[in-house]
Amino acid sequence: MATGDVNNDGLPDIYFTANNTSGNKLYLNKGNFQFEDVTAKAGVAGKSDWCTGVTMADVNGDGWLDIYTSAISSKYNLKGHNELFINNGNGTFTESAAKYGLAFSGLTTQSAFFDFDRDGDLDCYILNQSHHPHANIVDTSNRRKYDPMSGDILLRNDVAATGKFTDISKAAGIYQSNLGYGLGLAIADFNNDGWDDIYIGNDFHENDYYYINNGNGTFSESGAQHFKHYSRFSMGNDVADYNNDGQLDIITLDMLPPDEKILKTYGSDENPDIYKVKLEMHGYQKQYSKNCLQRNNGNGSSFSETALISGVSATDWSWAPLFADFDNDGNKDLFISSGIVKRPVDLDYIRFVSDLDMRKGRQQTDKYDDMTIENMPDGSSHPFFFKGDGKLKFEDVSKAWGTAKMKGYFNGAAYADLDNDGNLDVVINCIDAPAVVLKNNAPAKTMVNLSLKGEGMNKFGVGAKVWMFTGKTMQYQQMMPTRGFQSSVDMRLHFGLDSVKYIDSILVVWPNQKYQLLKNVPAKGDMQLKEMESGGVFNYNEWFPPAKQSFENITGQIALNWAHRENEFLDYNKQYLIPHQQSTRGPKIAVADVNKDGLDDFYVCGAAGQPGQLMIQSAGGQFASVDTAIFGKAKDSEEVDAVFFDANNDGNPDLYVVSGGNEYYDGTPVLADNLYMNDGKGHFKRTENQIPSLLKNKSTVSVSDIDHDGDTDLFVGCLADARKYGIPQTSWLLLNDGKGTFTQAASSVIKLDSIGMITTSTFTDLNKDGWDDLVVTGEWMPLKIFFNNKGVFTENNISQSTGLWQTLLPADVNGDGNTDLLAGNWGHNNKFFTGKNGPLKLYVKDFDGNGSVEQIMCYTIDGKEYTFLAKDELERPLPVLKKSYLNYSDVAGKTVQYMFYNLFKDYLELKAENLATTCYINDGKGNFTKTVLPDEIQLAPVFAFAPVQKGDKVSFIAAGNFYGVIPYEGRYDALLPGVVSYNKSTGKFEVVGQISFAGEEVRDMRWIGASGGKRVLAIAQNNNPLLFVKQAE
Amino acid sequence: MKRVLFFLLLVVLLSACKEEGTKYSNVFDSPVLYAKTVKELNNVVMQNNFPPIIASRNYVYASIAAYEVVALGDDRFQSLAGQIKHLPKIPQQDLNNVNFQYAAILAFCKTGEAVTFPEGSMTAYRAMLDSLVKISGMNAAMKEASIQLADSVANHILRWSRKDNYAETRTGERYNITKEEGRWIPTPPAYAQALEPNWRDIRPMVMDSADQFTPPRPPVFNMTDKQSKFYQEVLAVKSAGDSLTDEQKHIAEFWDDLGNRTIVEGHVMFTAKKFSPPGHWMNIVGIAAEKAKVDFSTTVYAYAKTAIAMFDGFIQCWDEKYRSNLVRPETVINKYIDPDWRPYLQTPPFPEYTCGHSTVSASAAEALTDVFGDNFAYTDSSELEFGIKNRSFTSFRQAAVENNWARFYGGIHFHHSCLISTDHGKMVGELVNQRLKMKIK
Repeated sequence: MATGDVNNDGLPDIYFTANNTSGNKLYLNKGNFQFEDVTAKAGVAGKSDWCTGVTMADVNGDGWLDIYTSAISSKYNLKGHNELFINNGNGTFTESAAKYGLAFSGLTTQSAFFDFDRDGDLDCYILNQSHHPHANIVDTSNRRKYDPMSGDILLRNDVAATGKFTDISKAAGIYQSNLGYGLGLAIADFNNDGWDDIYIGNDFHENDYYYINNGNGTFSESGAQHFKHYSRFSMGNDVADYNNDGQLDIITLDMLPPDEKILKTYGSDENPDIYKVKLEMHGYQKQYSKNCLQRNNGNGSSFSETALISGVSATDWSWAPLFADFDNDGNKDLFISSGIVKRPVDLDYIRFVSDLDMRKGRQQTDKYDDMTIENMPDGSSHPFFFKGDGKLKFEDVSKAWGTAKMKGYFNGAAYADLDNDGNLDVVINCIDAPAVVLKNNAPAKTMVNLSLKGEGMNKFGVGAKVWMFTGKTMQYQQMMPTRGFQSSVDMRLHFGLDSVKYIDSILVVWPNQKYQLLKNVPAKGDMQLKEMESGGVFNYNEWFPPAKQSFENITGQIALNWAHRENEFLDYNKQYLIPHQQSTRGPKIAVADVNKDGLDDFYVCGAAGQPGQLMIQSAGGQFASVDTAIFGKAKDSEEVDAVFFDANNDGNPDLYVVSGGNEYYDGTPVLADNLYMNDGKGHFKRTENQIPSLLKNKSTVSVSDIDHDGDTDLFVGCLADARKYGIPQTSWLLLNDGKGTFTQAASSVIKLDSIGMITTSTFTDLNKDGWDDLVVTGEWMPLKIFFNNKGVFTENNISQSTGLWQTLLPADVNGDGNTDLLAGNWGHNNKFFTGKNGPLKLYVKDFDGNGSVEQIMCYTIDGKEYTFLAKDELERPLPVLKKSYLNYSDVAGKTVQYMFYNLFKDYLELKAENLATTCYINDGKGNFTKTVLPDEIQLAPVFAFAPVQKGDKVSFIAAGNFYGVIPYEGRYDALLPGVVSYNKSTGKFEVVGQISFAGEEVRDMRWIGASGGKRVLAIAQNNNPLLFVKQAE
Repeated sequence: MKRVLFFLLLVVLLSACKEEGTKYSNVFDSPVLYAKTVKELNNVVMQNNFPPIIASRNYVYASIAAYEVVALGDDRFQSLAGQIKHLPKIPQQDLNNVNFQYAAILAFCKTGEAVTFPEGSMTAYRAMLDSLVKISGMNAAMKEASIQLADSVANHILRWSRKDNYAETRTGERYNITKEEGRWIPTPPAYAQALEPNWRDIRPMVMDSADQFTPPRPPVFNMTDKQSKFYQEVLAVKSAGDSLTDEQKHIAEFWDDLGNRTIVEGHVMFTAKKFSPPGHWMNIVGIAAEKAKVDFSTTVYAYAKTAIAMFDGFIQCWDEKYRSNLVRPETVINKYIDPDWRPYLQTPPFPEYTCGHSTVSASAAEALTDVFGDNFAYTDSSELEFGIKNRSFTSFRQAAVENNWARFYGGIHFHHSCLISTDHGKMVGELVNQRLKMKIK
C-alpha cells in the first residue's frame, strides 16, 4: 500500500493493492479521517490478477504523484504486468507502463524510483522474486546467470531522450539470477558518498545484497565486506538513522516467534556442520532466522547486528518495518506489521502433512488440499510498536500504544500524518480483513512535517537529505518513499522535536549536491524547503569530518608473516549439547624482553597442529621467529595460555605454556604443559620433569610469589573435561622450589578441588596487605577470590556474580587506590538475555544413564525455566524423551521440569545470574560493587581487556566476539573493540572510542614495548593474523 | 485402511470359531495373524521415522522374542541362546497351560513396543488381541499363563538387548564434514546429518565383529582422469539416470524403500513415508510364508532368521560406510558434470560405499532361501500400498540381484558398490545359515 497526496490538497491519500483482478483501491483523504473511494473515477484499479507492491513517485516530473504497481504475472496462470498510472492532475490517471517501458511482466515484489545517476530524473529498480525456493541449494556461482522472470531490473530514465526507461541491469552489475528471492527493497546513501546505494532483502538461501553505487553508472554488490550476517528469510526492510549518529542503519525482518510456545513448534536452525554445507560451502554468507538490526558503524564501513540486545529480534512472521518518530520525542520508533494466515512451518503440522502423504497419497491428488490447509495452525499476530531510546534499544510498547490486542494478518503498511495534527498515523493493508488505519493519539509535542520542492524532473526531492540540529542532538533523514514491505510512505519528512521551539539549524542536501543551511528555524509544523534556494557543492567530509581515530593500524608496517590457524574441530560432534565450543580460545600472547635488548619480545600460542612462535623484536620494530625447532615439538598441543616469568631465579624470563583445546581426552600426552628455560640470551630449552604432569584440558596460568619465599609460583586453571562439559574441575597451585621445579601446593594452602570450569585467573593484591590474592573465574562460575593470608588462601565468592566469564583484568578504574576487577562476560546481545528475566541455567547429568553426560541449558522467564534447545535437538542424545512426547505441542511452552518429568532429578545445577561484561568495584575491604559496562560493550562476549594510558587518564579497551555457537544461537560478531572509561561523577562507564578494524574474534590484547619508549598493542584474533595498533598521538 | 484389514481378519477368524461351535478355538495358531503383527510393528517404525538400520534392530529383538517362545513350545525348533554367543539361556519357564502362539505374538508386541516409541505404540493392537482372546473362548488360566511366559521371555530379550551398545551410540561422535574431495557430505534436499556413524559399535548377532567381512577398497576418487575407474562409475550412474526406461524406473521405485523422502515446499520441509529396506523384506517373509503355507512356528522362524541376517548385514555395511566415507554420485555429478542433475530416487543421508539395501537384500535372501528353498517363485506386493505395482521373482536371490540394479538406476549408488554389497550381504547371510541351527527336525 502507499500513502501520498495525489491531488495536491495537502492531505495524504491512500492506495491499496489487491491480490485479485482489478481490486486495487485509491481513497482520497477528505480530512478528519474521512476517505472516499475514487478508484473507478480515477481509473487506477489496474488490470493485473495479483498485485504486490505499490510506490508513488512523480515519474514524469509534472508535480503530481503517479502510482506504480507491481504484479506477479506470467506464472500460476496469472495475467498482467506492472502498471504505471500517470496522474493527469484532474483526478484521473492514465495507465502508461508500456509507453514508459515499465510494463514488466514477471514476479515483481516492489519497485522504487530514485536518481541513481544524479542526472536529475528518477530511475527505477524493479525487485523480483524467484519462481520457487530451491530445495537443492544452488551454488552462488550461478548468481551471474540470467532469469527473465525473477532477475531484478535496474532501468535508467531516458524519457527525455527516448521517451522510455532503458534496462541497464547487466551493465550496472545487478544480479539477475533466480537465486535472489527479493522481498525487501531499500534505497539509501549508506556510505555518505552522495550516491544512492541499494539494499535487497532475499528470502531463503540467498543472502541479502548490498549494492554500493560506484557513481559511474555501476554498482558493486559488496555485502560480504560490510555485513557479518543477515536475516535468513529476509522479508521487508527499512533504513533510517535510529540512533541519531548521522549514519543510516538497516532493519530486515524475518519470522522468529517471540512467544515461547510458538517458538518451540517452529523449526529451528540446522546443526553447525549442516549449516556449513548448505550455506558456506555454496558461497553464501551467514544468515540467521531473526530480525536483524544492522547498526551502521560509520560511512557503511561495517555494520553491527544488534537486534537481540536492541529488543527487536522476534516479531513472528513479519512483513513491514517502519522507522519513524511516532511520539515526537526526537528518537525514531519502530513499527512492524506481522501475521500469516496459516503457519506452514509448525513442526506438528509438518508431521501431519507427512502422515497424510503416506496415508492418502496427498501428492497424487488435490483432494486433500482443504484438509491440509485446515490443519495448518493459524499465524495471526498484532502490529508491533517499539519505542526507540535514540541509542541502542527499543522497548515494545504495543500494549501501551494500543495494538497488542489486535489480531490478524498485517501486511503492507505506510505512515503519514493523515489529519495533519502533527503526528504520524499508520495505515495497514490486511489479509482477508478490512485495512486498518491507526490514528495516532500521542500527546502534542513540537515537530516539523517537511516537504521538499525539487526542480526539474524530481519535483519531490527524492534522495534529498536533511539534517536537523537541536542542542546536542542531530536527526538525519533521507527522502525515500519506498519503504517497509511492498509499500511507500508520504512524501513529507517527519521530525519529532519533543519540546524544542527553535531548531538550531537545518541542513538540506539535494540529489545534485546543492545544499542549503537554515539557522534558528521555528519548529512550527509544516515547512517546505526549496531546491531553488540551495547552492554550492556539498562536501560531506567538510561538514561531517571523520572522527579522529584513537588508534592507528600499523599491522602493515610490522609485516609479521604469521597467522593463527584454528584446527577443524567441532565440539558439537562430540558433545551434542555443549552450549558453545571450547576449542577456539586461542591465541593468547605473552610479552617479555627475553634477550634483554630493551625491546619487548612475545610468544604467541598455536592451535593444535600449529606450533607457537617466539617472536624477537628487532631495532626496527619488526619481529622474527626464533627457536622454532624447540617450540615445534609441542605442535600437536593446542596452546591456550602462556606467561613469561623467572622460574629459576636467574634473572631471565622463562616461559610456561598451557595446553588444552577441549579435543583430547584427559590423560592424552599432548595435554602436557611445557616449561621452557631462557639461557639469558633469549634462547629457550624445554625442561623435563620440573612441572607436574597435568594431562587435563586447561585454560589459564598466572604467576606470583604467593608465599614470599623469593621465587615465583604458578596457578594453573583447568577448563573442562573434554567429554563432560559442566562438571567442575580441579585446578592447581604450583609452588616453586626456587630452582624452577614445581610441586602442587597442599590443600592446607589452598583448596582448589572441583572449583569449576576456569577460563581466566589473575594474582593481584585486593586488600592491600602486601600479599597477592588469587582471582579465578570461568563459565557458570562466580568470581572467586582466594585471599592470601601470608601464603594460606581462604576462598570468597563475589555474591550473585555467576556468569559465563572469559577474562579478568585487575585495575584501579576509579583511582581510589583499590584494585577493581574488569570481567569479560557473554554480553546481552543474545537469546539468553533478550526477553528473559532470570538466570541462565545449565543442568548437567547423564540423564538417560548411557554413560555420557548431557547438558540442558535453560533460560528463565517469569520464574519458569525453559530449555534453550527445542525437542528435536534434545532428543538426539536423549531418545528416551521421545517415549513420552510425540507432538511438539506436547512440550512447547512447557518448563524443563515438565519436559524431563521423572528424569529431572539428582542433577548438577549451574547458573549464570549476570551475563553482562562488568566491573566489580573494590572498596578495599573486600566488598565489590557491580558496575555493568555500557550496552555498546555488551554486543558480544568479551575475551580481552587492555588498559590505555593517555596522560594521567586511564581507559580500557574491551574486545571479543565469538563464532563457536550453533546457528540457532547465532554467532557473536557485532563487537568492535570499544574503549571505555569510568566517569567518577556518574559512577558509570562511558564509551570514549572504538577501534574500527579488529572485528573478528579477539582473544588477547597485549602491549609490547618498542624502541624510544613507544608501545604497540598486539591484538590476537582467532584464526587470523595478529593486528598491531598504536595509539594516535 | 489398517482397521479395515483387521476387521476382515476378525471376521475370518470369527467364522472359523463358529464352524467349530462355541468351544475354545485356537485362533492364534495363524501364520497370517503373526504376519499381521509384524506388519503392525512395521507401521510403528514407519510412522515414527525410524531410519532403516534402527528398524533392523527393532525387528530383530521382537522377532527373536517370538521365536524363543516358539522354541519353548515346539520341539522342532531350538533356542538361539548360546548359538548367538551372548544371548543367555532363557530361564526355566512354567509351560503348563500356555498357548504358545498367543504368547509368541505377545512377546513380539512387548519387545517391539519397548524398542520403539512413543510409549504404548502398539496399545491399540494389543487391545484387539485381547478381544480375540475373548472370541476364541480361551480360559483365564491359559491367558494368564501365556501372558506370563510372553512377559518373561520378552523381559529376558530386552535385558539382553540393552547391552548391545545402542544407548551408548546415541551420543557417539558425529560424522565430521570436511572439504576433502571424495569425502561424503550431506545431500539435497534435506541435507540431513550422516546417519548412525557409530553403528559399527553395535553388537552383532552372528558375526564375530563388524569388520569380519571387510569389502575391498572402493575406486579411488578421481574426477580428472576420465579413464579412471571412479570417473567411469560416476559417468555410468549419470548416463543410466539420463535414459531410464519405464521398467528401470519401476525397478528403482520398487526398491526405493526410503523411509523418509523429504519434500520441500517453500519454507516447509516435510517427509513422505514408505517402508524401509528391512520393513520391505519383513513383508516379503510374510508373503513367502503365506505362499508356502507353512505353519505358525515356521513362519516365526522365517521372520527371526531373516531379521538376524539383516541386522548383521547392516552392521557389516555401516562399518564400511564410515571407513571409506565415500561421496554420493549426486554430489560428484553436481559439482563436476551437471549442477542440475538429480537422481531418480532421493539420496539417503549416509556415505555411498557399500550399499545398505543391496547388502541386507542379499543377506535376507540367503536366510529366506535357507527356510523356503531356492527357486521359490513369488510375487512381491509390498509396495502396492504406496501405489507401486507388484513385481514377480523366480527366487529370493533374483530379487536381491535386482535390488542392486535398482539402487544404480535410482542414481544413488555406483553399480560397482552394489555388486560388492550383494556379495558381502550373501556372506553375512551364509554365516547366519551356517552358525544358527534353529530348525532341528
